[in-house]
Amino acid sequence: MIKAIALGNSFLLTAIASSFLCWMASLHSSLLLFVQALFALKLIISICAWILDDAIVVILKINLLQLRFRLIASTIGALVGVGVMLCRS
Amino acid sequence: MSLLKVSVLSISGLTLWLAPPFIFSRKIPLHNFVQGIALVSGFACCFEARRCALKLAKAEEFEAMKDAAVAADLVDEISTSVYVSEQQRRNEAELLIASDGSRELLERALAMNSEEDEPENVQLAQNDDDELRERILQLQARGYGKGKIISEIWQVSKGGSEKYKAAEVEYRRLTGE
Repeated sequence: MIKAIALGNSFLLTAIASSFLCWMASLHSSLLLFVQALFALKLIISICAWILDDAIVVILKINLLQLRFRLIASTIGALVGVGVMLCRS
Repeated sequence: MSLLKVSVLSISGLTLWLAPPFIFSRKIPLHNFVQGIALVSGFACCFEARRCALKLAKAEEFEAMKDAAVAADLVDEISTSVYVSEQQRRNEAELLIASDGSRELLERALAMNSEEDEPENVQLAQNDDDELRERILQLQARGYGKGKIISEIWQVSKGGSEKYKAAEVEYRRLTGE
């Protein structure tokens, strides 16, 4: 139960961080570019982590399933965060 | 208490994340600013909730380990007591067998009375004497009288028989009466 809450909070942290970046992007056009770059960087890192999963598993000392779960959860969290800010009034 | 704190922080974080974007307008600068503050607050709430949840999970794991260790100790203690009682039972059985053997040795020693000069036999008889003394003391400790001890060790009933007299003499010699 408590572990599920911790996992849920990790997801919320990703989503809120993503929403915050979107909010920052809405403040100024140069910040928009910066945030876009950050999201692009995140995407590249996620793809690299997915490709180099065997090496990353050894470095992070977790199993493959956990790594994939984290990658998918962080991507979904970021998308949800962006979605929330795009849907706002 | 900690679970309540974690729950409240999580719900606060969720509310601070989701409510402001749909309540406030992004076109009004003050509303936009409040949205940013709410997002930062929501992030802080979720961060604290996650930290507390992980701490709580670790404490639960520790408690589970402690319970497992206590159970293992209990099992170990039970198995040790079983082993000790088994050993005690075995020792008692060996002592009984040894007392029977002593009787046989005594009979043999009495039969070989003429060969007492041989040092090997003397040593054997000495060992026998020690064992018999020990046995007599054990029976005395149980509250047995002379007649009962003689009948128990030498297997002769009380009376004027030669065997009983020999046993009585042996008993006196051993007890020093």
